[in-house]
Amino acid sequence: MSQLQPLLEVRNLEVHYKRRRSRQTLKATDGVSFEILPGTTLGLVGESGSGKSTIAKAILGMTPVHSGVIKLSGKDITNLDRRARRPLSRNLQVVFQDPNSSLNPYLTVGRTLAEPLQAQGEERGEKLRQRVAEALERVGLPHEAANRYPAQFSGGQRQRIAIARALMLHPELVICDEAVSALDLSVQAQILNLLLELQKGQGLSYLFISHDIAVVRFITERVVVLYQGQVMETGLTAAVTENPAHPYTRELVNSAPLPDPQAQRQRRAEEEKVRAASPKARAEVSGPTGQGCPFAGRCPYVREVCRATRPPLVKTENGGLTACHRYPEWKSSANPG
Amino acid sequence: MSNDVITPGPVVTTGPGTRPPRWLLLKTLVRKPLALVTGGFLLVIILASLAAPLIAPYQPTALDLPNAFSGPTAKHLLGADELGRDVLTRLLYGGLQIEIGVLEGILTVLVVAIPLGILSGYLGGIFDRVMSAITDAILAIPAIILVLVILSLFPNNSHVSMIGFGLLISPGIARIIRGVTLPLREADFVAAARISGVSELQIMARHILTAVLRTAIIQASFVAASALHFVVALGYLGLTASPGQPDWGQMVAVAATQITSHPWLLVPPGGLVALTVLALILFGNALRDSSANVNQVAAMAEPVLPVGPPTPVAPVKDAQLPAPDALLAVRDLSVVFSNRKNQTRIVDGVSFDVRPGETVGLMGESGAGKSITALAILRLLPGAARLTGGQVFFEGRDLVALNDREFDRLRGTTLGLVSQEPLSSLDPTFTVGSQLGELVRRHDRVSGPKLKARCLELLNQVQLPDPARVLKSYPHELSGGMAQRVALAMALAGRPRLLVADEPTTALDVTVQKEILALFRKVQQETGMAILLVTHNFGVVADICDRVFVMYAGQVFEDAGVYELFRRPLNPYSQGLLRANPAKAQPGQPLQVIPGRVPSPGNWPPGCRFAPRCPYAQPECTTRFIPLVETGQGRLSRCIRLGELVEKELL
Repeated sequence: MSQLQPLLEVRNLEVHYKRRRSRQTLKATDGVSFEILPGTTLGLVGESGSGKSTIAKAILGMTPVHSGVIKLSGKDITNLDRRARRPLSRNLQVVFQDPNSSLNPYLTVGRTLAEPLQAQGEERGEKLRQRVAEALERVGLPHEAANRYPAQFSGGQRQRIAIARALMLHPELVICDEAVSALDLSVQAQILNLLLELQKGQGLSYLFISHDIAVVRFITERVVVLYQGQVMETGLTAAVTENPAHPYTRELVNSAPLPDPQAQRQRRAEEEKVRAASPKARAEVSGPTGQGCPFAGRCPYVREVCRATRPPLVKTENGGLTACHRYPEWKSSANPG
Repeated sequence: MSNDVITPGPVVTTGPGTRPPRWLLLKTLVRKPLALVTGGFLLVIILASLAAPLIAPYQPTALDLPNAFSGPTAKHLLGADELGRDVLTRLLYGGLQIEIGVLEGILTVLVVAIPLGILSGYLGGIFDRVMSAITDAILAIPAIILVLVILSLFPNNSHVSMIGFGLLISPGIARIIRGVTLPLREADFVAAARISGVSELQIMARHILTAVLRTAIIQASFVAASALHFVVALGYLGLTASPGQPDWGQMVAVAATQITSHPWLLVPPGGLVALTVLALILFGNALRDSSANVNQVAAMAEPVLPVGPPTPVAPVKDAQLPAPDALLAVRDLSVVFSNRKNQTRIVDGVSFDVRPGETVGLMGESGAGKSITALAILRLLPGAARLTGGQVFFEGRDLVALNDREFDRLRGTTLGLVSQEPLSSLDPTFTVGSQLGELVRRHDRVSGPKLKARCLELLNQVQLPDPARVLKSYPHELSGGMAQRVALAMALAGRPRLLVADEPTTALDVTVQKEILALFRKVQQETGMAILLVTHNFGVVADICDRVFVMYAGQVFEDAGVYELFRRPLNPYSQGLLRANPAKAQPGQPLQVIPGRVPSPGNWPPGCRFAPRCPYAQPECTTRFIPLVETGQGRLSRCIRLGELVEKELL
């Protein structure tokens, strides 16, 4: 691995939510660790309830961290109070999923973009206006956009404005929380390209959170696959998606239908063959097991040990990590029976 | 550093009718006759009382004893009181004091209630709880008694009593402001501001205040109405008036003593008070209504509906498709969305066929009109949308010609629907069993054990584990995937021959989507029903569809078998969409994008609607109607340069 100091380091992150009625605590994330090197993009991928957005909230200080450490450029930022967090806005920014709700409808775009600079006591007057104009230009919008209100823009344009706001203070790390999920396909492609260009031009790092494996494969270098708050697998995105080392990753990758009917039908036929070959099909779901692998209830390859003990993260052949008891068997054959 | 990256930007297109929301409220308000009349009335009252010394015919204390108790005459337009003082003059002179009192009340409320409401809504916690307790206590104090106490401390001081009144009203208003603030605390834009280092105080002052101000203004007009009542009541009781000075309340009080002998005396002051209060309340209502309109406008993804000339609502003839064997044949379907001023076409001459047992995809981005097309077939168009042309043949019978009763008989038995939000099609107060049972009873006319058996059979058919338990569950107890299975079971209850599925898997996780798509496939094999699938997802199309209609801006742009479409799209739009898909792209390399965005209905460009975004567009593309033409192998495409592009291997 590189000797570079990671820009963001998350170690054993645990965030708990209290259920109001039953007084149970729910582990939204459970022992999640990863790091992001400067200028790179890390993907967090998983389905609803996987805890991926909770991780973003914990990093952004929007939810308390139960245990674990979050370091930004080597500095511990876990559970900082709001006052102590304010200087962080120069290093850490966010783009949310829904551009309709992430811009204040009553403020002009110009005022929204000026706000981060004003809050930091930087620039005013003409200089401020110039910085706003530059920011709009950077995301491909004309200067006049500053005088308009969010309602006057399309969803894709609003997402550009949200990106411009995130870049006002020239942060090193931008968290993209499902930032392209609400957009139409043609607009999504524009925003993905914009994110790539901005990264190349400014050396940005992204924490890219998405449920869409195709988007994650396109834009990230490394990926963390989450399931019910736990890391199932991490590694280079290409390796993880081409050659999953965890049954859940495999299911996730294979579930997203390919935009190619020929390939898709072929894949279905192969899966059918596999299912026919292993008559002991899917084990019935027996609820969360508590100590075991969270995926055990759905895993086609489940064994007793999977329900009893939580699998540790072990090194995979292609340099990643996987939390699967049966990985050694996976290694030798593509399909452990 | 900051100028390193310059991307070619799309043109910002703003509706010509759009104005900053700040003035939008005023603009929408002015368009309301009710607001104009009531606002004008209030303005006249205020101006008249300000100008009283200039326009009043007499001095307010000038006596004219011979004409005491005169009714309306040329000398005293509104009559004269017991000392012959001119009623009109006294009303004019008395107005100012009333208005000052009302203003004091309103200002007190705004100054107290807005900060308190914002603070307790935004900060929450202990502050909120203490505020709430104080509010309850204050609401329990009878207002008139408190004001009597205040007046005994400050005799005849109407200012202090109106401020006291304002303080009493404030907790209720603060509660309303708090209610508006609560959801804003969690809003993304507030989170983004916080992450940008904006202090809590600034967030409250900038983001929250701007958002609650509108509510506060609306409430102010209602507060004004009760403040007016209160001022007049104080005058009536003689608590604030100095003797001889004109005062509306005193005028009512005097008139009340003369009610049997000189009833007219009550009419001018009483009527004025009643009319002013009514005007305030109606003005408040108008404010509230136009504010709701403004919010709708602000919430709309697209700018205000186009002004300009409406799209011509004349049928557009397309290539007629031969369809002797079609189960469903849609011809020239057009849907228009109308509001008071505009007619906006959203579906424009759409034609397609679905054959028995076939799965047909209506594919497109938002604004393409694909969902509206599907809903139009089922007669489920939203209120403002209307079918304006075309036919829908089901097995040769024109469904558009049927009356509602005849059409209802087809629902469920012939046509079934599964929507994007399965939970919205289930009633949360009834169990799955009772809702499914009702459908089975209606379609099969069975009851008792037979009914239950059929319900279980349906749930088994959609592969729900433990169907008996599902029957007893309420909708909220189901996961998204289970709810979609139940919705499918309900759609299957009448054994439809065509299932319309509107984005059935869009709200689901991919692993669940896969299961639901597999289920569709299985049910189709068992029942032989046809599926019309509305989707924006190429993966879903590739997985399940036999045939695809790619829609853009209300029209069909391409029609092809699924293999042919993916192998070689024969329309620049389909080609662009396929190329923009990150699933097939080289990671990290820029995607080939379609520039710009889908034009909103009503802003469709002339000629080819895709021309402004098309890499192959030529001037001729924008000058005339572009027909959908056959391209061989049973395919259709809407592009006049098709032959040329195919020849050059650009398509």
